[in-house]
Amino acid sequence: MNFAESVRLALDTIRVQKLKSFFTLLGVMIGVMFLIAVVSIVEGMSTYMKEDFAAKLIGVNTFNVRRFPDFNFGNVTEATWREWQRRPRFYENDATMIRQTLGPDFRTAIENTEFIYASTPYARPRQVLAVAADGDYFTIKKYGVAHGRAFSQQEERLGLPVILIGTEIAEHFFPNLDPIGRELRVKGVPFRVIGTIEKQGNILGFSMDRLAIAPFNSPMSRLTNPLGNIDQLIVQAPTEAGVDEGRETVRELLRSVRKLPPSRPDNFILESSESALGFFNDLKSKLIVFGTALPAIGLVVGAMVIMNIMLVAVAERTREIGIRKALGARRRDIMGQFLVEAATLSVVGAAIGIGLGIGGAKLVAALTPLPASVAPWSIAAALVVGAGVGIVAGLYPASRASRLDPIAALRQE
Amino acid sequence: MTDDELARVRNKEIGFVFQTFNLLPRASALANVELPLVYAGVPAAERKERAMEALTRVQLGERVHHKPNELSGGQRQRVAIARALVNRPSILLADEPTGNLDSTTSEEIMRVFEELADQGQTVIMVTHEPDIAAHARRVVVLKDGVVSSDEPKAVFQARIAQGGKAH
Repeated sequence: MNFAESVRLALDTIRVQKLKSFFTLLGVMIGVMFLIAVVSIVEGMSTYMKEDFAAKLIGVNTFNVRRFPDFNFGNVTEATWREWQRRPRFYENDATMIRQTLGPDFRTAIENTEFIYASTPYARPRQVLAVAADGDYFTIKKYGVAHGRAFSQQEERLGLPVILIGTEIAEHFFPNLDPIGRELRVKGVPFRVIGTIEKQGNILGFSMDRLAIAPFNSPMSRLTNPLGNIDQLIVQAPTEAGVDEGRETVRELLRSVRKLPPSRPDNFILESSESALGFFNDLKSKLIVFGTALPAIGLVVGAMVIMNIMLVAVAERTREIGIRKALGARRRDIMGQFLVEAATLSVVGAAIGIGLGIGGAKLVAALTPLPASVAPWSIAAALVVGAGVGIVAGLYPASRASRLDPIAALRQE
Repeated sequence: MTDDELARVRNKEIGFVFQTFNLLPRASALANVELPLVYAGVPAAERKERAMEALTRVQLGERVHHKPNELSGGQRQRVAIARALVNRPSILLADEPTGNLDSTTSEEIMRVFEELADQGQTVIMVTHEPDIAAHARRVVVLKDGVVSSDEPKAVFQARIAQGGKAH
């Protein structure tokens, strides 16, 4: 049987009976729509987490040497937590040792952070993300200086109480004032503002512009880490390939310094954007499973409706089938014709569903901070699923049509 | 014979012409005539050429792109005959081909059959009307499922002319 003719016949049927076709295809449409929307939203979340969240918070080709993970999302057991608390702390000399071992190819920075109340005479006290950092901190974090200047080498070495602040801090503490040269007190300790940092924007609703960065050697370190330890050493490899090499170097170094036998696990963490996203990848696979199980029900319903419609079509067109058989159509010709018709119906439904799904994803993207991005593979998958549903639903009606006796079929009015 | 073998015989060896034409209503005359060729697996270009040739043979070369409901009864039956002929069958079976047509059109259709017979095409036709039967070269009369006479055209015509019954 002529493929194009079957497709045209199916499209004719849809055109002539718009309302009936709409209801016929509703199941497939809704199923495919949700399939596309769910996949787009999850993929969008994934892109967002990878590019904005992890890359901005941790950085490209970067890992953090820490006592225990910074990014843990509520799935830490009591026992794990206690094990973390028993781990040795990091101190400046650990960082120095790692830096010497890694050599000058790697950018490094010590970073201590803590939410601390700050104040000026011009505004109410407010919490800021206080940071004490050294080395290549600004380069690794890609924090550009908007106004004023960065720390001088002398300020860093001597640990002078100078500070660079985020735009939100600047606006809050220095309303309608130029903050440069003015004093910001952090937990009562005075720092002189020497510059502001370019606007960083939000990540998952958290403002990135509430930081206040002072030299590591300044009094800030005692404010963030009263015990004298350091939170983390940030290491940035020169290339993507260098990341693993750097991680292994640091791991071997720390294990040998801490005299860990091979049977013991690491008592430190080398946290990268991938490891920080481990929790999210778990979540993502669950979302995909549940998110596609639901539309699958719609597709099953859609398949049943299409099967019914095709059974009606076979009954209505018994005479046509008789004529075709009288003219020499074989079983497989009739079977093919009705299968193509069912698949065409279903693919049209899927195509409409794809359109609606993309629309839905765009709507979600517009109304929420989630950037839903439509994955091309999901469109291809939806079309294949659509055709598959049509073929499965059409099998029984088509086989019934193909088995009609031509004489009986022609006799029917 | 299997279903597929039967389908092949219907496709290649026998052409059917029905009383009610049995054309596909949504397909053009040309597409209707092409249908047996589609099932015979003839390529599209050759299909069209042969379908046109068959339609010309039944003097319907012009209205090929019309749908059946845009054609008169006689024209529809010509399309059906063209469709039956297009695969060059050994036998053309016609089941009361003039049953739904008026007498003038019936005569036209019978002329088409006669021409085909003159060109060597075997035509087997069923009819209730002696006038129509009189066109045949050989007339077999069936009564209650039993052959009651089997005569050449001339004998049959003479008997009808004398006011005799067909059977």
